[in-house]
Amino acid sequence: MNELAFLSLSDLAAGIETRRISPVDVTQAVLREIDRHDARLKAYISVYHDQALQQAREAEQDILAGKYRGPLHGIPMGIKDNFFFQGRTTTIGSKIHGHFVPEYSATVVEKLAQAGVIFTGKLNLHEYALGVTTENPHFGTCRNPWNENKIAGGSSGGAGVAIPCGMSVGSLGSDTSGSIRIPAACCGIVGLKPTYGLVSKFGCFPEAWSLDHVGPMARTVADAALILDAISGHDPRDPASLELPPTRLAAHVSDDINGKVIGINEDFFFKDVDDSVASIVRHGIRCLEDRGALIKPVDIRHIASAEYAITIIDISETSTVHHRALRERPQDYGDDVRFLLRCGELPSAVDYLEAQQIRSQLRDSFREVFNEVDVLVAPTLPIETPDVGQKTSTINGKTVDAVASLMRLIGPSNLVGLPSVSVPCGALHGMPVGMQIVGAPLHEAAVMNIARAVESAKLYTLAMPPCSGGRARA
Amino acid sequence: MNRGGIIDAQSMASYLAEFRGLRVTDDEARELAAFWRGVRALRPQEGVDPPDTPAATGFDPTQVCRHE
Repeated sequence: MNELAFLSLSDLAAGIETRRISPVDVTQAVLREIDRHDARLKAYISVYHDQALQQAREAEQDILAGKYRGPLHGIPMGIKDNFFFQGRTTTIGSKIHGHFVPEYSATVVEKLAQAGVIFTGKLNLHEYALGVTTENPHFGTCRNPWNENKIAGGSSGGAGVAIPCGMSVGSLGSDTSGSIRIPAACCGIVGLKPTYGLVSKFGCFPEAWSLDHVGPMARTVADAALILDAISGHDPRDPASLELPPTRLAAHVSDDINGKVIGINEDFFFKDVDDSVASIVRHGIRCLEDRGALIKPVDIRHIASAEYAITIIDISETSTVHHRALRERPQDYGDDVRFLLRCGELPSAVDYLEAQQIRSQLRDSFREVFNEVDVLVAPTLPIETPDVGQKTSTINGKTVDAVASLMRLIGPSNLVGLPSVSVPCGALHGMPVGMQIVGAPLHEAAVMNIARAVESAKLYTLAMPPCSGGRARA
Repeated sequence: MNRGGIIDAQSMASYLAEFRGLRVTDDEARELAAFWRGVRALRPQEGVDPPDTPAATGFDPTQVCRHE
C-alpha cells in the first residue's frame, strides 16, 4: 500500500508544512500509482516523471529553507489537458491539437504553480471536452476505478479517475454542462463548479464560452475549498472574470448546518430520476434534516425549458469555436464530436436568442427561490453510471438516452452561473452516487457547508477503489 | 426545408452542403434530423416570450453575480 498517495490534500499539507512528510516522497508515491494503473485506466495523456521529481526536490529545499508557500506547496497534481501549459504539448484530447504547444499558461495553471503545486502530467478528457463519457478515440477510454466496465464520466474523466486512485491528490476540471460534477459523481469524489466568473478561464480552451466554468475536483470538501482558494480571483485577461479577490473558503467550511433551509424541487430535480438513485439522495436529505436543516419544497418557474436552452446555447457556441476546422478536417474529429459539431450548425439566430431569453427568465426564477432557501439539493445524475459504450439507460424501466440523462439535472446551474457541488452520498451496486447542491451566486460557502455535512455523516462507505488495495475509506 | 418541422435526410444534407459548407452522408443526415427533432421537442410548447426590454435581448451571465 502506497499510503502517501491516498492521503487527503489537507492531511498532506499539514505533514509537509511541519516537515513530517517530504514532497519528494509524495510525488514518488503518486508516480508509482500512475505507473501501476494508468496503462489500464487511461487517466493521463502525458506524464511528467522527471520534471515532477525535479519540482518536488525544489519544493522540499524551499520548505526546508523556511520558504513554505501554503497548503498546495509540494502537492502533486495532474491537470486536465485543455488547460494551456506554456511550452508543453496541450492536446485538448484531440488529434487536431495533438501537437499544439501554447506560448502561455492558463491563469489557473500559473496560480497553482505559484502556490507550489507539483505537476505530474496532463489528464485525459473527452475530445475537446465535448462529451460526458471520456471515451476518447485518440488517447483511450478512461475506465472507472470502481468498475472498469463503467465510464468515468466526463469530460474531466482523467481527474475523476486519478484522484481516487492515488494518481493525483486533487485537480481542476472545466464544466460547461457537467464536466466537473459528472465524473465526480461517477468516481466518488467532490467536484465544485463555482459561480460563473469566479475562476479565470484564460488559457482554458473554450467549449461554449457563456457556459464554461473552471473549478476544483478533490477527495474531500476541505480539499476542494483549498484548491478554489488558490485558483479564484479577478483576472483582467478573462472578460467574464468577476472583480473579486480570491475566496477564503477553506478556513470557513463547516458541517454546522443547523437552521439552514434546503429547497427540494420535485417537478424537475426529482422527476424522471431512477428510484434506486433517488432513494439514496433522499436518505441523504433526511440525514441533513437530522442535523438541523429545514426542508422546504420549492417551485422553479421556467425550469422545464432549461434542457432546451442549454442544448441550443451549448451546441451553437461550440460549433462556432470549431466552425473552420469542421470544414477543413472533419475526418480528424471522433465520430461523436463531429456529429455534435454538425448539430450545432442547425439552430438559427432566433433559436439562440430565444434560448438566451429563457436563460434570463430562469435567472429571475432562481433569484426568487434563493430568497426562500439557502441551497437546493438534488441527485447529480438521474441514472446509474452507464457501461462504456452504453447508449441507452433506464429510468424506472423506461429506456432513455444515457448521455442526455447524465447532463439533464446539471445544466440549469451552468445556464445561470450558480455554484454547484457534487459530493458522494451513498453507493449503488458498488458504484458511488452523487448528491448535487446548488446555491445562489457567490454563495460557495453555503453549498460547501452542506456538502461537508453530507461528508461528515459518512453516508458514502465504499472501500477505496480496487486498484488501491481496497482500503476502507476514512 | 423547415428545420423545426418535417425534415428528411436529403433536404438536411442539401441544407448543410449549400448553406453550411458541410458534406454529410444520407445516414449522417438522418441522424442529424433525428437529433434536431429531439431538440425541437424540448422547446416550450407555449413558445418563448420575447424580451420586454432592450437590455434583455442578450445575456451576460456575469450579471447574475453583479446584480447581487
